[in-house]
Amino acid sequence: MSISVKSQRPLSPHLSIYKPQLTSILSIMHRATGVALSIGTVLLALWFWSAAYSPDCFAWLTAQASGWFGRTLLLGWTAAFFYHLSNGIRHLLWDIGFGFTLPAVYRSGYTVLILTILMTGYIWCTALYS
Amino acid sequence: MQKHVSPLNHPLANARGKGAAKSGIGHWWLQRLTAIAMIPLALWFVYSLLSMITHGLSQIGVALWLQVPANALLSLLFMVALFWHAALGLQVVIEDYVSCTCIKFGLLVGTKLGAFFAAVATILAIVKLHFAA
Repeated sequence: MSISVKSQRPLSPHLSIYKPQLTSILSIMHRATGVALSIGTVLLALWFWSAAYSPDCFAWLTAQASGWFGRTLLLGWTAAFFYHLSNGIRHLLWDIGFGFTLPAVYRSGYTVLILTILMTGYIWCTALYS
Repeated sequence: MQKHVSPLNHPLANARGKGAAKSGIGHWWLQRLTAIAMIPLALWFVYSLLSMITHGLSQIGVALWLQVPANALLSLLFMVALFWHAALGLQVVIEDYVSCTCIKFGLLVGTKLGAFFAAVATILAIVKLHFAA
């Protein structure tokens, strides 16, 4: 098979004319938050490592976490965490054959979004004002 | 060839062996297993972090927190499940979106080794803080 034939094959889904739905947006968001959280795990490892071997590095990390840039990142990771957690539970329920009808899929989808906002709000209100 | 027989496989897959991926349901199942483990572990970890933050986060505070056996044990379990789950998830994303075989291979090896490195480093740090007098 020549390369020109291969490169002319259509790609699916046709993203330029694809109408996004809640289901497809939530699906790709699960992957995106997963990748974002994976990057966060490196920082978490560094946090444990610095607590054990470098108090200076730990103090630097803590200082960064209270700046506006650090807080923006942490807010994003908090939201990504609660999204991936609640949508992950949604996936596990699908795996055991629960909630497969279209209305149920939309209901659980909106539930995931509301839970993410509520839990992220709860965590940040507690962290900032208690 | 050794057959990976499981009720989670398609009956035909049980009859024929491990399928096109050559690893049967291994990857899929471990992704779920680490996910289930992390539901309570991650909630506990976030709750612990939050209470440390509200009491003023410090290196000594973390050290004292990890001296408690239950905290060290649950932290180890959480971090191992976390890196394992992350490595399996990144593998799927890379396999799906990176078409160049050479870059794909590099990224797959890099993420697996990176996750392993970070996990072992974290275990060492937690163990060190736990046994520090």
